[in-house]
Amino acid sequence: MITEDVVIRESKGGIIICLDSQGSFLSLKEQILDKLDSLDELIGVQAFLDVGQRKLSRKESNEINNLLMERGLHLKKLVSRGKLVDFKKEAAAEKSKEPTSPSVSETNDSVAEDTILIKRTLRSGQKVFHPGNIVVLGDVNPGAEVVAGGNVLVMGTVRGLAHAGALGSEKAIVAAFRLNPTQLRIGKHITRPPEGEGKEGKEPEMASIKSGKVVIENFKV
Amino acid sequence: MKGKVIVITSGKGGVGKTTTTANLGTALTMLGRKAVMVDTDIGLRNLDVVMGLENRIVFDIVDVVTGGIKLKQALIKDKRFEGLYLLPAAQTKEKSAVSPHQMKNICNDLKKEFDFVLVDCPAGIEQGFKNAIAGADEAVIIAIPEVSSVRDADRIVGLLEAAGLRKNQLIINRIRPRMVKRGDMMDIEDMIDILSVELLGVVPEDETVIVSTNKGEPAVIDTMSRAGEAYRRIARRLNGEEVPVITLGNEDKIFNRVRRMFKLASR
Ligand SMILES: Nc1ncnc2c1ncn2[C@@H]1O[C@H](COP(=O)(O)OP(=O)(O)OP(=O)(O)O)[C@@H](O)[C@H]1O
Ligand SMILES: [Mg+2]
Repeated sequence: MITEDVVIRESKGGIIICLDSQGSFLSLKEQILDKLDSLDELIGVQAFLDVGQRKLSRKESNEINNLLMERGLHLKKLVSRGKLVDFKKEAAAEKSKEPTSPSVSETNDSVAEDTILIKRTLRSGQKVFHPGNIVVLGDVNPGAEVVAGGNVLVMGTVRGLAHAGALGSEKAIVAAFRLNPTQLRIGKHITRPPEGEGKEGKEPEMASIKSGKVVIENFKV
Repeated sequence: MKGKVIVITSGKGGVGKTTTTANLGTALTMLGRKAVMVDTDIGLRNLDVVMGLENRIVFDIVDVVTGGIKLKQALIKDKRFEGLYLLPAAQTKEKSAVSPHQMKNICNDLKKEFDFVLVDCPAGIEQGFKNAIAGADEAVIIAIPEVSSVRDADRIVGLLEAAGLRKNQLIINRIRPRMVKRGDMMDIEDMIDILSVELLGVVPEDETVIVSTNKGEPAVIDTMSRAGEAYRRIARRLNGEEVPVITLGNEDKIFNRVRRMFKLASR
Protein backbone atom coordinates (compact mmCIF):
# COMPACT_ATOMS: atom_id res chain seq x y z
CA MET A 1 0.00 0.00 0.00
CA ILE A 2 1.50 3.27 -1.08
CA THR A 3 1.02 6.11 1.32
CA GLU A 4 -0.22 9.26 -0.30
CA ASP A 5 2.01 12.29 -0.31
CA VAL A 6 -0.84 14.68 -0.88
CA VAL A 7 -4.15 14.55 0.93
CA ILE A 8 -6.91 17.00 0.21
CA ARG A 9 -9.67 17.42 2.75
CA GLU A 10 -12.70 19.61 2.53
CA SER A 11 -13.40 21.90 5.43
CA LYS A 12 -16.14 24.40 6.01
CA GLY A 13 -14.09 27.39 4.88
CA GLY A 14 -12.59 25.71 1.84
CA ILE A 15 -10.11 22.89 1.27
CA ILE A 16 -7.05 21.82 3.19
CA ILE A 17 -4.11 20.45 1.23
CA CYS A 18 -1.75 18.41 3.37
CA LEU A 19 1.73 17.66 2.07
CA ASP A 20 3.87 14.79 3.25
CA SER A 21 7.39 15.68 4.31
CA GLN A 22 8.96 13.00 2.12
CA GLY A 23 9.01 12.90 -1.66
CA SER A 24 10.37 15.32 -4.20
CA PHE A 25 8.79 18.70 -4.70
CA LEU A 26 8.17 17.87 -8.35
CA SER A 27 6.13 14.79 -7.58
CA LEU A 28 4.26 16.71 -4.91
CA LYS A 29 3.27 19.29 -7.47
CA GLU A 30 2.03 16.65 -9.88
CA GLN A 31 0.04 14.94 -7.19
CA ILE A 32 -1.56 18.20 -6.14
CA LEU A 33 -2.62 18.79 -9.75
CA ASP A 34 -4.00 15.26 -10.05
CA LYS A 35 -5.94 15.61 -6.85
CA LEU A 36 -7.33 19.00 -7.81
CA ASP A 37 -8.48 17.68 -11.17
CA SER A 38 -10.51 15.01 -9.45
CA LEU A 39 -12.43 17.62 -7.47
CA ASP A 40 -15.08 19.59 -9.24
CA GLU A 41 -15.61 23.33 -9.17
CA LEU A 42 -12.89 25.07 -7.26
CA ILE A 43 -13.00 28.61 -8.55
CA GLY A 44 -13.02 31.07 -5.68
CA VAL A 45 -12.54 28.39 -3.03
CA GLN A 46 -10.11 29.17 -0.23
CA ALA A 47 -7.24 26.80 0.24
CA PHE A 48 -5.19 26.09 3.31
CA LEU A 49 -1.83 24.50 2.76
CA ASP A 50 -0.51 22.26 5.52
CA VAL A 51 3.15 21.55 4.84
CA GLY A 52 3.68 19.62 8.07
CA GLN A 53 7.40 19.04 8.73
CA ARG A 54 8.38 20.01 5.23
CA LYS A 55 10.20 23.25 4.73
CA LEU A 56 9.12 24.98 1.57
CA SER A 57 11.35 27.62 0.07
CA ARG A 58 9.75 30.89 -0.89
CA LYS A 59 10.06 29.84 -4.53
CA GLU A 60 8.35 26.52 -3.87
CA SER A 61 5.50 28.03 -1.93
CA ASN A 62 5.04 30.55 -4.70
CA GLU A 63 4.97 27.77 -7.25
CA ILE A 64 2.24 26.01 -5.33
CA ASN A 65 0.41 29.28 -4.92
CA ASN A 66 0.51 29.92 -8.67
CA LEU A 67 -0.62 26.44 -9.42
CA LEU A 68 -3.58 26.83 -7.09
CA MET A 69 -4.32 30.24 -8.52
CA GLU A 70 -4.47 28.87 -12.05
CA ARG A 71 -7.22 26.54 -10.88
CA GLY A 72 -9.04 29.50 -9.41
CA LEU A 73 -8.13 28.60 -5.82
CA HIS A 74 -7.22 31.26 -3.40
CA LEU A 75 -4.37 30.31 -1.05
CA LYS A 76 -5.41 31.71 2.26
CA LYS A 77 -3.12 30.29 4.87
CA LEU A 78 -0.07 28.14 5.22
CA VAL A 79 0.19 25.75 8.14
CA SER A 80 3.68 24.69 9.10
CA ARG A 81 4.43 22.17 11.87
CA GLY A 82 0.98 22.76 13.22
CA LYS A 83 1.55 26.50 13.27
CA LEU A 84 -0.80 28.70 11.33
CA VAL A 85 0.81 31.24 9.07
CA ASP A 86 -1.33 33.90 7.50
CA PHE A 87 -0.26 33.93 3.91
CA LYS A 88 -1.03 37.60 3.46
CA LYS A 89 0.76 38.70 6.61
CA GLU A 90 3.69 36.44 5.82
CA ALA A 91 4.10 38.02 2.43
CA ALA A 92 3.80 41.47 3.91
CA ALA A 93 6.34 40.68 6.60
CA GLU A 94 8.74 39.26 4.07
CA LYS A 95 8.35 42.33 1.99
CA SER A 96 9.13 44.66 4.85
CA LYS A 97 12.19 42.55 5.71
CA GLU A 98 13.63 43.10 2.28
CA PRO A 99 16.29 45.79 2.24
CA THR A 100 14.75 48.90 0.82
CA SER A 101 16.84 50.65 -1.71
CA PRO A 102 15.13 54.01 -2.04
CA SER A 103 15.63 54.48 -5.76
CA VAL A 104 13.98 51.16 -6.54
CA SER A 105 11.06 51.33 -4.13
CA GLU A 106 10.22 54.73 -5.60
CA THR A 107 9.16 53.07 -8.83
CA ASN A 108 7.58 50.24 -6.91
CA ASP A 109 9.81 47.58 -8.42
CA SER A 110 10.25 45.78 -5.13
CA VAL A 111 7.55 43.24 -5.93
CA ALA A 112 8.13 43.12 -9.67
CA GLU A 113 9.81 39.73 -9.66
CA ASP A 114 6.76 38.24 -8.03
CA THR A 115 4.19 38.53 -10.77
CA ILE A 116 1.51 36.10 -11.79
CA LEU A 117 -0.19 35.90 -15.11
CA ILE A 118 -3.88 35.01 -15.35
CA LYS A 119 -4.55 33.90 -18.89
CA ARG A 120 -8.31 34.15 -18.90
CA THR A 121 -11.23 36.40 -18.16
CA LEU A 122 -12.23 36.55 -14.50
CA ARG A 123 -15.97 36.05 -14.37
CA SER A 124 -18.57 36.86 -11.76
CA GLY A 125 -17.82 35.09 -8.48
CA GLN A 126 -14.17 34.47 -9.30
CA LYS A 127 -11.49 36.05 -7.19
CA VAL A 128 -7.74 36.14 -7.49
CA PHE A 129 -5.42 37.21 -4.72
CA HIS A 130 -1.67 37.39 -4.99
CA PRO A 131 0.81 39.18 -2.73
CA GLY A 132 2.84 40.39 -5.75
CA ASN A 133 1.69 41.82 -9.05
CA ILE A 134 -1.16 40.43 -11.12
CA VAL A 135 -1.41 40.61 -14.88
CA VAL A 136 -4.73 39.54 -16.39
CA LEU A 137 -4.85 38.62 -20.06
CA GLY A 138 -8.59 39.05 -20.34
CA ASP A 139 -11.33 41.02 -18.66
CA VAL A 140 -12.32 41.39 -15.02
CA ASN A 141 -16.10 41.14 -15.22
CA PRO A 142 -18.71 42.58 -12.85
CA GLY A 143 -18.76 40.48 -9.69
CA ALA A 144 -15.15 39.34 -10.14
CA GLU A 145 -12.28 40.55 -7.95
CA VAL A 146 -8.60 40.93 -8.62
CA VAL A 147 -6.64 41.72 -5.47
CA ALA A 148 -2.88 42.23 -5.50
CA GLY A 149 -0.32 43.17 -2.90
CA GLY A 150 1.46 44.91 -5.76
CA ASN A 151 0.18 46.30 -9.02
CA VAL A 152 -2.73 45.18 -11.16
CA LEU A 153 -2.45 45.26 -14.93
CA VAL A 154 -5.42 44.15 -17.00
CA MET A 155 -5.03 43.64 -20.73
CA GLY A 156 -8.76 43.95 -21.18
CA THR A 157 -11.67 45.71 -19.52
CA VAL A 158 -12.03 46.02 -15.75
CA ARG A 159 -15.73 46.04 -14.91
CA GLY A 160 -15.52 44.37 -11.51
CA LEU A 161 -13.37 45.13 -8.50
CA ALA A 162 -9.66 45.79 -8.70
CA HIS A 163 -7.51 46.29 -5.62
CA ALA A 164 -3.82 47.14 -5.87
CA GLY A 165 -1.57 47.52 -2.85
CA ALA A 166 -3.90 45.31 -0.84
CA LEU A 167 -1.19 44.76 1.77
CA GLY A 168 -0.98 48.47 2.40
CA SER A 169 1.19 49.86 -0.38
CA GLU A 170 0.10 53.30 -1.52
CA LYS A 171 2.47 53.21 -4.46
CA ALA A 172 0.66 50.43 -6.26
CA ILE A 173 -1.24 51.16 -9.44
CA VAL A 174 -4.12 49.68 -11.40
CA ALA A 175 -3.70 49.93 -15.16
CA ALA A 176 -6.12 48.58 -17.72
CA PHE A 177 -6.83 48.64 -21.39
CA ARG A 178 -10.30 49.87 -20.42
CA LEU A 179 -10.95 50.93 -16.85
CA ASN A 180 -14.62 50.82 -15.92
CA PRO A 181 -14.66 49.18 -12.48
CA THR A 182 -17.58 48.80 -10.10
CA GLN A 183 -15.07 49.71 -7.44
CA LEU A 184 -11.39 50.49 -7.41
CA ARG A 185 -9.12 50.23 -4.40
CA ILE A 186 -5.54 51.19 -3.87
CA GLY A 187 -4.03 50.57 -0.46
CA LYS A 188 -6.73 51.68 1.95
CA HIS A 189 -8.44 53.99 -0.52
CA ILE A 190 -11.75 53.01 -2.04
CA THR A 191 -13.29 54.78 -5.02
CA ARG A 192 -16.29 54.30 -7.23
CA PRO A 193 -16.83 55.74 -10.67
CA PRO A 194 -18.91 58.92 -10.55
CA GLU A 195 -22.67 58.30 -10.67
CA GLY A 196 -24.41 58.45 -14.00
CA GLU A 197 -21.21 58.55 -16.00
CA GLY A 198 -21.90 55.18 -17.53
CA LYS A 199 -19.79 55.18 -20.66
CA GLU A 200 -16.58 53.24 -20.74
CA GLY A 201 -13.37 55.08 -21.38
CA LYS A 202 -11.96 54.70 -24.84
CA GLU A 203 -8.32 54.83 -23.81
CA PRO A 204 -6.05 52.74 -21.64
CA GLU A 205 -6.05 54.25 -18.19
CA MET A 206 -4.07 54.06 -15.00
CA ALA A 207 -5.13 54.67 -11.42
CA SER A 208 -2.71 55.69 -8.71
CA ILE A 209 -2.63 57.65 -5.50
CA LYS A 210 -1.57 61.25 -5.83
CA SER A 211 -1.54 63.53 -2.79
CA GLY A 212 -3.71 61.13 -0.86
CA LYS A 213 -6.37 60.60 -3.54
CA VAL A 214 -7.00 58.00 -6.17
CA VAL A 215 -6.62 59.63 -9.57
CA ILE A 216 -7.30 58.08 -12.93
CA GLU A 217 -5.36 59.29 -15.93
CA ASN A 218 -4.90 58.28 -19.51
CA PHE A 219 -2.06 55.89 -19.80
CA LYS A 220 0.89 57.60 -21.41
CA VAL A 221 4.05 55.85 -22.43
CA MET B 1 -24.81 6.91 -33.77
CA LYS B 2 -23.00 9.35 -31.56
CA GLY B 3 -24.93 12.46 -30.68
CA LYS B 4 -24.07 15.37 -28.47
CA VAL B 5 -25.29 16.38 -25.07
CA ILE B 6 -26.18 20.05 -24.75
CA VAL B 7 -27.07 21.48 -21.35
CA ILE B 8 -29.40 24.47 -21.31
CA THR B 9 -28.61 26.62 -18.32
CA SER B 10 -28.81 30.19 -17.01
CA GLY B 11 -28.08 30.57 -13.31
CA LYS B 12 -31.02 32.91 -12.89
CA GLY B 13 -34.47 31.36 -12.73
CA GLY B 14 -37.37 31.97 -15.05
CA VAL B 15 -35.42 33.25 -18.05
CA GLY B 16 -36.53 30.54 -20.48
CA LYS B 17 -34.47 27.37 -20.06
CA THR B 18 -37.47 25.05 -20.18
CA THR B 19 -39.11 27.00 -23.02
CA THR B 20 -35.87 26.79 -24.99
CA THR B 21 -35.39 23.08 -24.35
CA ALA B 22 -38.93 22.28 -25.48
CA ASN B 23 -38.73 24.42 -28.60
CA LEU B 24 -35.28 23.32 -29.69
CA GLY B 25 -36.06 19.66 -29.07
CA THR B 26 -39.19 19.92 -31.16
CA ALA B 27 -37.57 22.01 -33.90
CA LEU B 28 -34.64 19.62 -34.22
CA THR B 29 -36.99 16.69 -34.79
CA MET B 30 -38.85 18.81 -37.36
CA LEU B 31 -35.49 18.93 -39.15
CA GLY B 32 -35.44 15.16 -39.15
CA ARG B 33 -33.06 14.63 -36.25
CA LYS B 34 -33.61 12.42 -33.22
CA ALA B 35 -33.77 14.37 -29.98
CA VAL B 36 -34.38 13.61 -26.33
CA MET B 37 -35.11 16.24 -23.71
CA VAL B 38 -33.97 15.49 -20.18
CA ASP B 39 -35.61 17.35 -17.32
CA THR B 40 -33.17 17.60 -14.40
CA ASP B 41 -35.24 20.02 -12.35
CA ILE B 42 -36.11 17.43 -9.72
CA GLY B 43 -38.92 18.62 -7.48
CA LEU B 44 -39.93 21.40 -9.86
CA ARG B 45 -40.46 19.57 -13.08
CA ASN B 46 -41.99 21.62 -15.88
CA LEU B 47 -40.80 20.30 -19.19
CA ASP B 48 -43.49 17.62 -19.34
CA VAL B 49 -46.18 20.27 -18.81
CA VAL B 50 -44.74 22.62 -21.42
CA MET B 51 -44.64 19.68 -23.85
CA GLY B 52 -48.15 18.57 -22.88
CA LEU B 53 -46.87 15.14 -21.88
CA GLU B 54 -47.57 15.22 -18.14
CA ASN B 55 -50.33 12.62 -18.27
CA ARG B 56 -48.05 10.10 -20.00
CA ILE B 57 -45.44 9.91 -17.21
CA VAL B 58 -45.06 6.50 -15.60
CA PHE B 59 -41.41 6.44 -14.58
CA ASP B 60 -38.92 9.25 -14.13
CA ILE B 61 -35.17 9.87 -14.00
CA VAL B 62 -34.92 8.94 -10.31
CA ASP B 63 -36.63 5.61 -11.00
CA VAL B 64 -33.96 4.96 -13.59
CA VAL B 65 -31.05 5.58 -11.22
CA THR B 66 -32.53 3.96 -8.14
CA GLY B 67 -35.44 1.75 -9.02
CA GLY B 68 -33.94 -0.62 -11.55
CA ILE B 69 -36.14 0.81 -14.29
CA LYS B 70 -34.58 0.69 -17.74
CA LEU B 71 -33.85 4.01 -19.40
CA LYS B 72 -36.00 2.97 -22.38
CA GLN B 73 -38.98 2.36 -20.10
CA ALA B 74 -38.85 5.85 -18.67
CA LEU B 75 -38.55 7.62 -22.03
CA ILE B 76 -41.81 9.14 -23.23
CA LYS B 77 -42.29 9.18 -26.98
CA ASP B 78 -43.91 12.33 -28.29
CA LYS B 79 -46.44 11.03 -30.80
CA ARG B 80 -46.70 14.35 -32.63
CA PHE B 81 -43.06 14.43 -33.73
CA GLU B 82 -41.09 11.56 -35.17
CA GLY B 83 -37.96 11.00 -33.08
CA LEU B 84 -38.79 13.22 -30.11
CA TYR B 85 -38.55 11.82 -26.57
CA LEU B 86 -38.69 13.12 -23.01
CA LEU B 87 -37.02 11.82 -19.89
CA PRO B 88 -39.05 13.43 -17.11
CA ALA B 89 -37.74 14.62 -13.75
CA ALA B 90 -39.17 13.29 -10.51
CA GLN B 91 -41.61 15.57 -8.79
CA THR B 92 -41.71 14.04 -5.35
CA LYS B 93 -38.12 13.05 -4.64
CA GLU B 94 -35.07 14.77 -3.20
CA LYS B 95 -32.69 16.63 -5.47
CA SER B 96 -29.83 14.54 -4.15
CA ALA B 97 -31.49 11.38 -5.47
CA VAL B 98 -29.32 11.68 -8.59
CA SER B 99 -25.54 12.08 -8.54
CA PRO B 100 -23.39 13.74 -11.22
CA HIS B 101 -21.85 10.35 -11.94
CA GLN B 102 -25.24 8.73 -12.55
CA MET B 103 -26.28 11.65 -14.69
CA LYS B 104 -23.17 11.23 -16.80
CA ASN B 105 -24.01 7.58 -17.38
CA ILE B 106 -27.53 8.44 -18.46
CA CYS B 107 -26.25 11.06 -20.91
CA ASN B 108 -23.70 8.66 -22.33
CA ASP B 109 -26.37 6.03 -22.88
CA LEU B 110 -28.73 8.52 -24.48
CA LYS B 111 -26.23 9.91 -26.93
CA LYS B 112 -25.73 6.47 -28.40
CA GLU B 113 -29.36 6.60 -29.52
CA PHE B 114 -30.01 10.25 -30.21
CA ASP B 115 -28.47 13.03 -32.32
CA PHE B 116 -29.24 15.59 -29.65
CA VAL B 117 -29.62 15.17 -25.90
CA LEU B 118 -30.96 18.45 -24.51
CA VAL B 119 -30.64 18.76 -20.75
CA ASP B 120 -32.96 21.26 -19.08
CA CYS B 121 -31.01 22.57 -16.08
CA PRO B 122 -32.62 23.88 -12.88
CA ALA B 123 -31.93 27.46 -11.74
CA GLY B 124 -29.04 28.06 -9.37
CA ILE B 125 -25.52 26.69 -9.09
CA GLU B 126 -26.12 23.92 -6.57
CA GLN B 127 -26.38 20.16 -6.86
CA GLY B 128 -29.00 20.29 -9.61
CA PHE B 129 -26.69 22.39 -11.76
CA LYS B 130 -23.77 20.07 -11.14
CA ASN B 131 -25.91 17.11 -12.14
CA ALA B 132 -27.16 18.79 -15.28
CA ILE B 133 -23.70 19.68 -16.58
CA ALA B 134 -22.04 16.40 -15.58
CA GLY B 135 -22.64 14.63 -18.88
CA ALA B 136 -22.70 17.66 -21.16
CA ASP B 137 -20.47 18.13 -24.20
CA GLU B 138 -21.63 21.68 -24.83
CA ALA B 139 -23.69 24.35 -23.13
CA VAL B 140 -26.29 26.83 -24.24
CA ILE B 141 -26.59 29.73 -21.82
CA ILE B 142 -29.88 31.62 -21.67
CA ALA B 143 -29.87 35.25 -20.60
CA ILE B 144 -32.45 38.00 -20.79
CA PRO B 145 -31.38 41.61 -21.35
CA GLU B 146 -31.18 42.51 -17.67
CA VAL B 147 -28.07 43.25 -15.68
CA SER B 148 -28.75 40.57 -13.05
CA SER B 149 -29.35 37.91 -15.69
CA VAL B 150 -26.10 38.74 -17.46
CA ARG B 151 -24.27 38.64 -14.15
CA ASP B 152 -25.61 35.17 -13.41
CA ALA B 153 -24.87 33.98 -16.92
CA ASP B 154 -21.30 35.15 -16.48
CA ARG B 155 -20.99 33.21 -13.25
CA ILE B 156 -22.35 30.15 -15.03
CA VAL B 157 -19.88 30.49 -17.91
CA GLY B 158 -17.09 30.68 -15.32
CA LEU B 159 -18.31 27.47 -13.68
CA LEU B 160 -18.72 25.74 -17.04
CA GLU B 161 -15.19 26.68 -18.03
CA ALA B 162 -13.90 25.43 -14.69
CA ALA B 163 -15.72 22.15 -15.31
CA GLY B 164 -13.90 21.82 -18.62
CA LEU B 165 -16.77 22.74 -20.95
CA ARG B 166 -15.28 24.72 -23.79
CA LYS B 167 -18.13 25.15 -26.23
CA ASN B 168 -20.54 27.61 -24.61
CA GLN B 169 -23.06 29.50 -26.70
CA LEU B 170 -25.48 32.24 -25.76
CA ILE B 171 -29.18 32.70 -26.46
CA ILE B 172 -30.59 36.08 -25.57
CA ASN B 173 -34.29 35.65 -24.77
CA ARG B 174 -37.19 38.07 -24.39
CA ILE B 175 -35.76 40.89 -26.45
CA ARG B 176 -38.34 43.62 -27.02
CA PRO B 177 -37.74 45.16 -30.44
CA ARG B 178 -39.38 48.46 -29.57
CA MET B 179 -37.29 48.91 -26.44
CA VAL B 180 -34.14 48.03 -28.36
CA LYS B 181 -34.93 50.69 -30.95
CA ARG B 182 -35.50 53.24 -28.20
CA GLY B 183 -32.23 52.25 -26.57
CA ASP B 184 -34.03 51.34 -23.35
CA MET B 185 -32.83 47.81 -23.25
CA MET B 186 -29.50 46.39 -22.36
CA ASP B 187 -27.50 46.40 -25.56
CA ILE B 188 -27.03 42.97 -27.15
CA GLU B 189 -23.56 44.10 -28.10
CA ASP B 190 -22.73 44.87 -24.46
CA MET B 191 -24.04 41.51 -23.33
CA ILE B 192 -21.83 39.66 -25.79
CA ASP B 193 -18.92 41.86 -24.84
CA ILE B 194 -19.15 40.95 -21.18
CA LEU B 195 -19.91 37.28 -21.64
CA SER B 196 -17.50 36.84 -24.56
CA VAL B 197 -19.16 33.67 -25.79
CA GLU B 198 -20.53 32.87 -29.20
CA LEU B 199 -24.06 34.16 -29.89
CA LEU B 200 -26.32 31.32 -30.93
CA GLY B 201 -29.47 33.35 -31.30
CA VAL B 202 -31.85 36.05 -30.17
CA VAL B 203 -35.47 35.25 -29.26
CA PRO B 204 -38.05 38.04 -29.07
CA GLU B 205 -40.52 38.59 -26.26
CA ASP B 206 -43.65 37.00 -27.67
CA GLU B 207 -47.08 36.33 -26.19
CA THR B 208 -47.51 33.24 -28.35
CA VAL B 209 -44.89 31.60 -26.12
CA ILE B 210 -47.15 31.88 -23.10
CA VAL B 211 -50.22 30.77 -25.04
CA SER B 212 -48.45 27.76 -26.52
CA THR B 213 -46.86 26.86 -23.18
CA ASN B 214 -50.27 26.70 -21.58
CA LYS B 215 -51.58 24.53 -24.41
CA GLY B 216 -48.63 22.16 -24.13
CA GLU B 217 -47.54 22.90 -27.68
CA PRO B 218 -44.13 24.46 -28.24
CA ALA B 219 -44.16 27.75 -30.18
CA VAL B 220 -42.10 26.31 -33.05
CA ILE B 221 -45.23 24.51 -34.29
CA ASP B 222 -46.98 27.83 -34.76
CA THR B 223 -45.79 29.22 -38.09
CA MET B 224 -47.03 32.68 -37.10
CA SER B 225 -45.04 32.83 -33.86
CA ARG B 226 -42.00 35.10 -34.02
CA ALA B 227 -40.33 33.38 -31.08
CA GLY B 228 -41.07 30.08 -32.80
CA GLU B 229 -39.36 31.35 -35.94
CA ALA B 230 -36.31 32.39 -33.89
CA TYR B 231 -36.14 28.94 -32.28
CA ARG B 232 -36.46 27.22 -35.67
CA ARG B 233 -33.47 29.22 -36.90
CA ILE B 234 -31.48 28.37 -33.77
CA ALA B 235 -32.25 24.70 -34.30
CA ARG B 236 -30.92 24.89 -37.86
CA ARG B 237 -27.78 26.50 -36.50
CA LEU B 238 -27.37 23.71 -33.94
CA ASN B 239 -27.86 21.30 -36.81
CA GLY B 240 -24.80 22.77 -38.50
CA GLU B 241 -26.39 25.15 -41.00
CA GLU B 242 -25.18 28.71 -41.34
CA VAL B 243 -28.14 30.96 -40.59
CA PRO B 244 -27.78 34.67 -39.88
CA VAL B 245 -28.98 35.83 -36.46
CA ILE B 246 -32.14 37.96 -36.55
CA THR B 247 -31.54 40.78 -34.16
CA LEU B 248 -34.55 43.03 -34.53
CA GLY B 249 -33.21 46.47 -35.25
CA ASN B 250 -29.49 46.40 -35.64
CA GLU B 251 -28.97 43.43 -37.93
CA ASP B 252 -25.70 44.30 -39.59
CA LYS B 253 -23.90 45.12 -36.41
CA ILE B 254 -24.69 41.86 -34.72
CA PHE B 255 -24.15 39.74 -37.76
CA ASN B 256 -20.65 41.13 -38.13
CA ARG B 257 -20.07 40.54 -34.51
CA VAL B 258 -21.14 36.92 -34.72
CA ARG B 259 -18.96 36.36 -37.73
CA ARG B 260 -16.05 37.83 -35.86
CA MET B 261 -16.68 35.58 -32.90
CA PHE B 262 -16.90 32.53 -35.12
CA LYS B 263 -13.57 33.46 -36.63
CA LEU B 264 -12.03 33.87 -33.24
CA ALA B 265 -13.37 30.54 -32.14
CA SER B 266 -12.20 28.65 -35.20
CA ARG B 267 -8.70 30.04 -35.09
N1 LIG C 1 -39.59 34.73 -25.47
C1 LIG C 1 -40.55 34.73 -24.53
N2 LIG C 1 -41.62 35.53 -24.66
C2 LIG C 1 -42.60 35.53 -23.70
N3 LIG C 1 -42.59 34.77 -22.61
C3 LIG C 1 -41.54 33.95 -22.42
C4 LIG C 1 -40.47 33.88 -23.36
N4 LIG C 1 -39.57 32.96 -22.91
C5 LIG C 1 -40.07 32.49 -21.74
N5 LIG C 1 -41.26 33.07 -21.44
C6 LIG C 1 -42.09 32.80 -20.25
O1 LIG C 1 -41.29 32.98 -19.10
C7 LIG C 1 -41.66 32.05 -18.09
C8 LIG C 1 -40.44 31.29 -17.62
O2 LIG C 1 -39.97 30.49 -18.68
P1 LIG C 1 -39.30 29.07 -18.43
O3 LIG C 1 -40.14 28.24 -17.54
O4 LIG C 1 -38.91 28.53 -19.75
O5 LIG C 1 -38.00 29.54 -17.64
P2 LIG C 1 -36.95 28.62 -16.85
O6 LIG C 1 -35.63 29.29 -17.05
O7 LIG C 1 -37.05 27.21 -17.28
O8 LIG C 1 -37.44 28.78 -15.37
P3 LIG C 1 -36.95 27.95 -14.07
O9 LIG C 1 -35.65 28.58 -13.67
O10 LIG C 1 -38.02 28.17 -13.07
O11 LIG C 1 -36.80 26.53 -14.51
C9 LIG C 1 -42.73 31.16 -18.70
O12 LIG C 1 -43.97 31.60 -18.25
C10 LIG C 1 -42.57 31.37 -20.18
O13 LIG C 1 -43.78 31.20 -20.86
MG1 LIG D 1 -37.35 25.42 -16.05
